[in-house]
Amino acid sequence: MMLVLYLAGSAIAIGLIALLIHRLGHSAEHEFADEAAVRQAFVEEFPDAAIARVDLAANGRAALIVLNEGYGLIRAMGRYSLARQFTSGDIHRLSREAATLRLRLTDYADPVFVIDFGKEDTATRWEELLGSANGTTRETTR
Amino acid sequence: MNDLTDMPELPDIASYAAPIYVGLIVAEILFVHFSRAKGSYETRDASTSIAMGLGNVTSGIIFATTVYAGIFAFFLWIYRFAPVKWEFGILSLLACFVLDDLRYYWVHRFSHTIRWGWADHVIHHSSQHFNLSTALRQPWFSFAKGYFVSVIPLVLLGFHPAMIAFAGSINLFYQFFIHTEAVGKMPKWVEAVMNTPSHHRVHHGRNARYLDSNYAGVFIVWDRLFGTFVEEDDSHPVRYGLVKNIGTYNPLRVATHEYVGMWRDATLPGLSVKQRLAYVFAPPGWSHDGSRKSSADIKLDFISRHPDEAGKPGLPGTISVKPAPMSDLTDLPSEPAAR
Repeated sequence: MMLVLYLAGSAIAIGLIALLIHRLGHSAEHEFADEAAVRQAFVEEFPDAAIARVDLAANGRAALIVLNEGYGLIRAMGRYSLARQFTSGDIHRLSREAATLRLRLTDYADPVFVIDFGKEDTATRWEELLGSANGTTRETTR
Repeated sequence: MNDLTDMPELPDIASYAAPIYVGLIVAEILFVHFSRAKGSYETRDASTSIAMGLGNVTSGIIFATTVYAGIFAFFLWIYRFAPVKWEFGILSLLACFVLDDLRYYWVHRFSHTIRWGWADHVIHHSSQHFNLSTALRQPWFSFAKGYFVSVIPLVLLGFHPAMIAFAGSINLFYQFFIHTEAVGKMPKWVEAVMNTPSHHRVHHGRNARYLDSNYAGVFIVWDRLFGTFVEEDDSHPVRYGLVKNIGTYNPLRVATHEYVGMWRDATLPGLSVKQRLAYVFAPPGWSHDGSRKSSADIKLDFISRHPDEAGKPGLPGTISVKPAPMSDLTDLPSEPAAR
């Protein structure tokens, strides 16, 4: 009983702290201003990376990158960003719904990457690029 | 007093600490937001950190009468063999506290340099923020790594297990307060002897120069003594988190991600037994094909790009023969390792 009360009290405390932080405006996600900002952030993490192409999300919070070897992704992680290099072998599942691409990676610590390009042809191109390179499950909804 | 052990009932600091922690986190949030104090909070990050702390305490309660009671009983049995038994008092508690802090230094160091320990401790370092809530981002199953055996020498030196536990709880309580950016540097004598927010910021840094440094719990003198001390350098602001940061706020994934990674690596097909064991007990970042980088590799890689930085605090003096493909402005690692 005490454990239940303790857990309930703690959950309320966490909720109130989260509400306080949110109301103070600290829930905003990082946004990349443009492709140059994506390149700079990605190269900070991977100085050796040779970037061939960047496709930025419509909301500026994520991007998919074609590297000379493999691919890269970068996205907002709260106020900061999170970057990964990956190959087609790291993709567990790939799906697309209109202009939104959803990647489920084999990386347990970063399992899902969702990007809305705002343009269906960009999402389709990435779907074909990543989907054709490996035998992942592909689901497409228009 | 307990007739068997002559130990008074010592207060459980953890039971008093929770409201203090919550109150001070709220105070820091308001202080950082409304004043110009340095620091940053983010809703989901802080919620995850506090949830991890809640899980840590809950795990302690759940296993209190089983695992932890068993470990305590084991220590009591060991205590019978101590040639000298120190009575509880200010001096004995002080001696116990200092020696336990030395023990903590080595356990903490091994938690960074052996992947088995890192799989547990990485949880505490998995936030890109550094604030009081980060202090609560703690693992759930620490007993499983078996580092409690490090307490045995203290027991054999004649310190009662309850006194050691009490000293350890004061140590952890102290460490809560050094997880903040809101405090700059303390007076020189404090910075010289004690672990401070400045020293601990360095410990949480993922900059190449700051990796694997400042392991102290309370007294920074251990790092100075054993060569792992690195001073916070304002010209190189600390970047917090992991060399390869995690992309999840899910507490269960936060708690288990490195264990999962270790398991996947150690069970890769075609490895020798030695390689499998190395994936568990070698330093984080070790890989059988050299595709990842340990802290030492990352530091060498960094000075190969910035030869003028060689030999500066936290960086080796020897320049790697590896060519530097391109210049980078930050002192972040060149590519992610498994740490």
